[in-house]
Amino acid sequence: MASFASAGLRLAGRGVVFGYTLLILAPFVWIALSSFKSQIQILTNAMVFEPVLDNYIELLFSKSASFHRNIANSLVVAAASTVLALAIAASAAFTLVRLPLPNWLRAAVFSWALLFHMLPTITFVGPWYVMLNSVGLSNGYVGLVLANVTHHLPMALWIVAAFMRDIPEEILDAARIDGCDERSSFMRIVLPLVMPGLAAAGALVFLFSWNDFIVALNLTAAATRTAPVAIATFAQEHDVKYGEMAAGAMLTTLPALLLLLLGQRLIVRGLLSGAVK
Amino acid sequence: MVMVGYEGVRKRFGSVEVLKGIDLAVQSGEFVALVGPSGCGKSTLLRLTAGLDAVSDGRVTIDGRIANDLPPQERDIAMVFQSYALYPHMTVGNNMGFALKMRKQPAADIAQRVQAAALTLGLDGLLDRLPKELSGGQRQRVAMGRAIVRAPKVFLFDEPLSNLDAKLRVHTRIEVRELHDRLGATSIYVTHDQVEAMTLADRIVVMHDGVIQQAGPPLALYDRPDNLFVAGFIGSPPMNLLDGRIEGQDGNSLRVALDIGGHLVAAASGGPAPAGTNAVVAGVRAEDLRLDNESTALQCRVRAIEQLGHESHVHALMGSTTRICVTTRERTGLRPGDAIGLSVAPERVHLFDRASGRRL
Repeated sequence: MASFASAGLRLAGRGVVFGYTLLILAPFVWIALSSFKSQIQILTNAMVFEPVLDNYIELLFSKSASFHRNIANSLVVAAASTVLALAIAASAAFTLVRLPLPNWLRAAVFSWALLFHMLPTITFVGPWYVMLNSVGLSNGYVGLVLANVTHHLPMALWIVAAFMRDIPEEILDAARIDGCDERSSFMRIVLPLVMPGLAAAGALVFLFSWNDFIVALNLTAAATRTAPVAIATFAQEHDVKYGEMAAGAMLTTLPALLLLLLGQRLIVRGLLSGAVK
Repeated sequence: MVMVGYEGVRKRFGSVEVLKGIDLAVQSGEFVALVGPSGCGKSTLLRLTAGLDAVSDGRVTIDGRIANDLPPQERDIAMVFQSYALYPHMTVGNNMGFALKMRKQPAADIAQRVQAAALTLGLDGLLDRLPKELSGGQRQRVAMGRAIVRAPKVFLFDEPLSNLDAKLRVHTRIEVRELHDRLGATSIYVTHDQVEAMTLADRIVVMHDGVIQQAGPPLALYDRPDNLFVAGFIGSPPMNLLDGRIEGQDGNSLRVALDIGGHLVAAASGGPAPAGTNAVVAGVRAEDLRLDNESTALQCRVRAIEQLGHESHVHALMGSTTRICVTTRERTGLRPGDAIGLSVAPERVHLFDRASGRRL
């Protein structure tokens, strides 16, 4: 009886896993297939078709093509956001975790960061727009990067701080005896030791900034438009360019997918740090 | 010449006073061991010496200079940590040369000194490895190498051998002492292992509750402990301590009636309080007790026997609760449950005042 029950449970478990995988993969496969279909084939939902590259060619090489610029914008914004967020997160985490501070202050900053991270992004978009607009930064890279950094800093701070807590106190004591002041022990000892944490936090900040739609929609103009916002513009009032939308989505996914595959182990380690020793 | 001096040194963490007025002078070239149970303040004293924690009150001097406000790197000290505290991302060579690099020494000079230290410690050939690729013993050597490369005025050791297995610990202990002698350095060595302190140190400082209980050469502490704490702490197996009262004095001998029954005769070393009123603790080392079936003074029953080969520890019970340990080199053939009599020479009995714990 017992083995029947456990076999049933195992089967049910597998069912859930396969079902969930299907749920995630099916839209992706649909988009991938659509990107190689003509508009007619998409609208008729043709299951058998001859793949064409028209959508990609239209997207990247037509006279009006600007998607390569959108990808470049995304790259600039995501990379700058990542670098800035990591620089602030690493120095903030060092200050909070390793320097003598009152415990209440430490708790207050980490709690505030967590709370901030839990609030929906849309809450901030309005105020950010007003603030950045008033200083003339609402349509450029700088405003969007600042918004992304503000948005993702709490997550980066928590991840890097968890790695910093894992550095034994004695190593920093040894560094002080060897002649390090706080700055040099941060640069020479702490930073190299939290590199896996920085990589994990960096990969996540990059991905979130790369994928961000709602903030970029409000804080960019045509010249600084990022890829996700550009994809949305293919859905126009009288014409929805499904094929180009699908091709754009595929091109946007690739760098993120690559990063995720390369950094997956680091990301998992980063997220688990502090949870398991 | 005093290399490290402590004058009325106190350390408080919030409302808790961990060091309660330490006065001590460590001479140049001396090897001093700080021993005591966990929480006695020995590691705190070492950290104050290193400059890793600030002194709350009093003065720490290094080579005649007041060091209270000097940062660690300006104290010319090196420290070996219990966990070795090697930099995991640096090779052995870089670990050893890091302090010199921070002092902006020429690269050629650093390489030469690291090489020399590596040769001394048998680490040549390992200089390009990372700490994680080394065994515990090798890591310990790298930690030592990191200290000696700098040729500091004072070496500070914080239980550096406690992560090694028993055999390696004995071997490394000898090496530490040899190194100290060869370098002519001043060393302060913290340990909770009194055997380590006895074998290594020129002078042992026993600490308890933030106070120095006694400081002196190992055998002086062993032969004439100042108080009950030192008597119980120094020596393995620990000294047998038996409550009793002084019944009377006969010339140079004091007769002590034990609370548990039986009696002891101790040699009088001072002028004890009037007979009959003096509550004392009589201390006898395990090796000073003799198995003596003629003796009626100390009667007990064997609980267990530990055979060590060169000697045996006989654990016995006096009355129903008082434990006593006897070390003998004879093959006694005793078994648990056997009744035995014990005797001890009067000059081998240590007497302590029960109220104050001080030696009489």
